[in-house]
Amino acid sequence: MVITLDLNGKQETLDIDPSLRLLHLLRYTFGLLGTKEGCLHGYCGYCHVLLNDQLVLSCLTPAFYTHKGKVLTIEGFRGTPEYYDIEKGFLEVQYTPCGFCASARVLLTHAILQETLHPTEQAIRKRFTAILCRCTDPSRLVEAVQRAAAIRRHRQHAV
Amino acid sequence: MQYNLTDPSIYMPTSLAEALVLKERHPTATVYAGGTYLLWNQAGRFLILPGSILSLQNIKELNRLGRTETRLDVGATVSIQRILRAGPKVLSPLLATALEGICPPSVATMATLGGNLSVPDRCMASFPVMHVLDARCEIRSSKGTRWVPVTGLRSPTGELQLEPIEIITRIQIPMEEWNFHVHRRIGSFSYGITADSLILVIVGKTYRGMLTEFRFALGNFSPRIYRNRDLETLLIGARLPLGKSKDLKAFLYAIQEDLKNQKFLSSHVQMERVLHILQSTLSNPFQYSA
Repeated sequence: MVITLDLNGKQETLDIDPSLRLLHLLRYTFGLLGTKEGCLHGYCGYCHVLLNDQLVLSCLTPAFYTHKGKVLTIEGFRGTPEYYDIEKGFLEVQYTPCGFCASARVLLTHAILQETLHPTEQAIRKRFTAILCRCTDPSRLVEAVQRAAAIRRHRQHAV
Repeated sequence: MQYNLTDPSIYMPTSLAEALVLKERHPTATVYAGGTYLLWNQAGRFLILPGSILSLQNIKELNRLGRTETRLDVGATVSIQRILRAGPKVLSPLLATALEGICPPSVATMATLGGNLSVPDRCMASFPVMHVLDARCEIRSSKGTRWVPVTGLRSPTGELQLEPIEIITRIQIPMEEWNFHVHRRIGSFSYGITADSLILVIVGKTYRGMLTEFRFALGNFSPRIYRNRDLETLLIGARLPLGKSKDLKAFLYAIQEDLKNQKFLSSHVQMERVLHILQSTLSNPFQYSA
């Protein structure tokens, strides 16, 4: 079937197999390897992408579901001011997630900051249970997200 | 559900009217909202999809969430995460706990309440709480609209009471104030319903130390829900806390016998846990005050 989607700000029209996962479409058709493949069951959370500004698991999303939608992966998100807020926040507290979960953590942080610029520790911890990777200290993660929130607040006030 | 090896027919309507017409023309089409139940446990490179799919994601009418003083209106394609995001001012603590237990947080951004209620072969994790809160579903077809309480969504034997041309479009949850509530999950997993899990929901109202309303329901890995309204009325009018009163003992005995007769629980452990939770809740319900 033919679908049209906005992928990282670029209109794409392509003929796909309806049973293809969004994850595989991104990785193998478009070569966007920042979205990682994990369990394919929706547990690990490594494959998060933004679909119409909502965080979704690309492994549990069929590619046809993105028809007329807007998909943002870590590759498209990189280079935006919102990405730099998060990167700066992470670096300031020396929070460095592993290469496998980093993209999902950045997008999840972005999703949290879109909801509120004052995320509580409890809310951050709860939301990050969506990513199973245990590569870093959770208290450092909370600090990093709150730092990123502070940077974004500052930038938005400056604007 | 029928699966085929050829490409599935996928219909993506943009309005509810169009969706209802498509559902009438293709009654066997599987309604697709979040798709989490359909795609769960498929680890292959390609997804196995039903022969035809009616995808609801582009219908804005079904993606609305509203709250009045007396009820919460949830569109069929509103994600669990979006309902949870509404916060404590909109959601009661019981509803928030129940929704958090439906699926893991990673899946909650996609899973929908409408989808959870319309799984054909078993009652999912939202059923017991929706039962107890007396939620209603708006069911629409090209022939008209009807409202069905969640209690009537399944037959006594567990079949989903939906015509092939019908779609659940909205869920209405009454926002009553309960003086105490309990939502417990028994089993090895924290989310959803698995073969060894059991969900127990208890709510009650009191007036001047007297039990004026009491409801409880059990859900497990089956198409049925356990709820006995006759037994619920046994304790109405009793003075709280019940402690070790004869009324409570008689009530627990009646529940035990009824559960045995209906063969609802799979083990003695589950029975003991259910009775223990009921006893501890009713002995002193104010420790679970809302």
